[in-house]
Amino acid sequence: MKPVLEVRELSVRANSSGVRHRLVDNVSFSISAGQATGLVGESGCGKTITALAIMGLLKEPAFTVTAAAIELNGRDISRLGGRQQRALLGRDIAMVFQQPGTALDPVFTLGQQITRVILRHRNETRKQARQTMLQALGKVGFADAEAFAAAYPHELSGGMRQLAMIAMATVCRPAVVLADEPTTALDPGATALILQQLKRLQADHGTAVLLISHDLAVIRKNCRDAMIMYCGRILEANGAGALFARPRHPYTAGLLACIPRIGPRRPAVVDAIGGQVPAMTDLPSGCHFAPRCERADPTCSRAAPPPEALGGGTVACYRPL
Amino acid sequence: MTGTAWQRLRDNGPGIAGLCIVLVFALVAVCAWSGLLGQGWAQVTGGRWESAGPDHWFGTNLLGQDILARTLQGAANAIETGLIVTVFSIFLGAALGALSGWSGRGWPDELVLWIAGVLDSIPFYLFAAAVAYALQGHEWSMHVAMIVTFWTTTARIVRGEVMRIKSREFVEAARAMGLNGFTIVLRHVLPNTLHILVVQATITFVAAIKTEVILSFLGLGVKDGVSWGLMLAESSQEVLAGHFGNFLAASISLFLLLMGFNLLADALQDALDTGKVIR
Amino acid sequence: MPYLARRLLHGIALLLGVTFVSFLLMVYFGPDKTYDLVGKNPTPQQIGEVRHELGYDRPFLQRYGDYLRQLLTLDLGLSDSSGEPVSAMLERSVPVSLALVLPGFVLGNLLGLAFAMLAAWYRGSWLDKLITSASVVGMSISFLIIIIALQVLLCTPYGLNLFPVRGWKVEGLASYLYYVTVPTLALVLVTLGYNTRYYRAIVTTEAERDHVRTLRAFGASPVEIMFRHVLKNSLIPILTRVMFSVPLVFVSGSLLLESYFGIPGIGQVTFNAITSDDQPVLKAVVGLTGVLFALALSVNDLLYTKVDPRLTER
Repeated sequence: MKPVLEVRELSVRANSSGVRHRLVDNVSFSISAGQATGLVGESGCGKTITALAIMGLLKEPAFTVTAAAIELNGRDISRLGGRQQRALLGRDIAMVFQQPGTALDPVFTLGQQITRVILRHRNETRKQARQTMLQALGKVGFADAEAFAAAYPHELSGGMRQLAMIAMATVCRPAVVLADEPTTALDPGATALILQQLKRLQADHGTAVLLISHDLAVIRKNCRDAMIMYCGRILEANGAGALFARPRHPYTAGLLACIPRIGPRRPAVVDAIGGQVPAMTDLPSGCHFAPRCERADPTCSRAAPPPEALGGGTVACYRPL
Repeated sequence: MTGTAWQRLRDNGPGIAGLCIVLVFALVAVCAWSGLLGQGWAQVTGGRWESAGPDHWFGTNLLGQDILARTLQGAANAIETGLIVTVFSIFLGAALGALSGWSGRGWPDELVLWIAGVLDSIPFYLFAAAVAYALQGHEWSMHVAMIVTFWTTTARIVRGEVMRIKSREFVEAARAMGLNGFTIVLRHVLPNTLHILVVQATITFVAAIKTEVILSFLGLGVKDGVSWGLMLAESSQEVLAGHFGNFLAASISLFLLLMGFNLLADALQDALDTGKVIR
Repeated sequence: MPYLARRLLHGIALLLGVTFVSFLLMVYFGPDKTYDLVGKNPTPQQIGEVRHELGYDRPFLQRYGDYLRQLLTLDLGLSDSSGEPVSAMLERSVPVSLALVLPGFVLGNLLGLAFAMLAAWYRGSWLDKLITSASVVGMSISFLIIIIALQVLLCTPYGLNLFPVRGWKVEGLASYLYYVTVPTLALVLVTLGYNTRYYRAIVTTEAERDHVRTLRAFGASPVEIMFRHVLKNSLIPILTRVMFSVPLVFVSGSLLLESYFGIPGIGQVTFNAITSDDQPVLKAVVGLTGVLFALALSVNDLLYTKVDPRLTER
């Protein structure tokens, strides 16, 4: 089955006062219709930048985005002109942001903001758009859609705002939804609701979802495939089950070991990964993880290990587990 | 100033230019105060409206006084006015602002805000006239009027900062150690507002000088002595008759000094990272 | 509702404070007019009579009360210099000042906002830098300098000599434009620097908010983002600025412009009163403008609630 979203060799560089550093380094992946792929990594590793780059929201001169291809249903969207790109965003590909509190405009009602998106991308009259908007709100779980449409963002809880964002992101039935840590700022109840909505989208509309999170449990439960990102590079990618059951990259293993497990036999042990995440301006040469890796040897720091097929997925490591 | 702030200031070209301009004027002021420059400003040393020449570099005015000397003395005057007004209004503003901010929404806060609101409500030039009235035209009435109205801006800003700082942990720690409010504010909170105060000082200086110019024009400012405002007032009639010496000397000097301070203020804001503080 | 009630209370407190300060300065500490009215070699009895007439022997609070009453009923007495009733003076001069200052005020703010939005949208580009530098230059030139320079350049044979040096004989649109152009130009030039600077900071802050990124992510055009969203979010600080500057521009602007260009508005009335120590006029002007300003502040608070829905929640 041809993937809905295909990203090949995506790189992003930040340009600030003459210094250029790589925020995202040669990332490639694809997502098929109705599937969810997880992108996991610690804060600041480049996950959000990747999503923004795919959407085309990173502009020169602050950022330089290069890619062999970014294809949406076979069509290259990486080099579109302004108007064409704007026609795409919200209609064929949409993004859900991490902080629903600040992502919505405080001086307009939910209804107004969602209706605006509908009017922009669909050929509907105001009355029709309003109906569509109310339906969309109803679908994500708002029982009294009219009341919520008339509410302002600050009048709602974080979970409700995020649901509204999902309604906005999906009202035009996009083929792809990039969800950037959609549940990080929410409590467990709201988290469950949001993830449920994403699952519904995949099932009902065949939407391809890129789920970005630093929460391994969320990824494991909701994604078919998963990728581990560190300092802008994908270190390992595989089916979610395989990845978490049998990690090949030392970093992945380290991340999994960090999850406190309350088990019947052993007491809960949490192993932190030694050292700290390097600053993007001062990345180690070769494999970025080498300085913190127990298995590293001098060859690891000489050149970045290329992704190799292993165990059903790919690993970028000279000495995989 | 911390190391990085100093570095950022040094990298700021226009800021350094501004600083240099200000220092030059400060130097001129010091020379004028100590009797080295601009001494003959009140004497009639030439004929009416002589144009610029070797005896009088900027020419003479209606009475035959040397414009250059008057300009230099005017610089001294401007700096003096600026300094007095700035120092007093910043002090007053910081003190009342800290009191106001520390008391949260308590009565000192409401009181200070009310007074500030009242003072801000009276348009300045009328207030200056009123103060001149009340003080029977005393020489310092101009400074008093300015200090009494300029402190409100500083106070509001300091109040905001103090309220923000108040909720931070190190203040709770200090309280837990038993320090009383006054000590905490003095030793811990106010030092954290210094960067804002520095920027606000430059802005106040500019406002003071500009205000003095207009007050002098209206006859409410400098009376015995010479200031750029008085020179401009003189020149307002002169230019209609084609004599531009007074006007050009005063306006160019004024422009340079103000520009210098504005550039410095901007550079300080950027270097100290205070975000745009606007008067 | 409690929010509105509180703002109302604040407004009243402000009004009382302002009038009290005006009273203190102008009446209580003002010049003692006894000796102006009494003849040569006055007897203590005559002095006492005059003082009683002038109300100097009444208790403090009563005098303040009288002042308040006078202000609110516009019973303002007669000018010391011309003998004309002060309220009549105000009646004929205030409309003139409005007609003089309004175009410049509106234009200065609209242009400032326009430049600010340009600079914010093209942030970091040469246009932004040009606009920012120009504003700093504008802020460094005294109003006085602008007025004098414009007068020379536009109204005298040393310049273009297109407009009158002084005067205000307005009989129709053409004559209005003839007299109002140079003052308006001066007002715009002096306020443009500050306005652009201030508005640019506000608009830039708003343009960098997270929800603008969301808007772009859903395909909104730059024009829509700027004019529908950024602008609306910027309105509160902008409105505050405009409201705060109204009395300032009106009084100070008219003061200088009118005394300079010989325009018979409230500024000129005030200026003459200042130079001739005309107490009744100054009393009235200080008190009334203070009241107006306090009102402006309260109106501003009310407007807030219309524009920012978050504020009704207090």
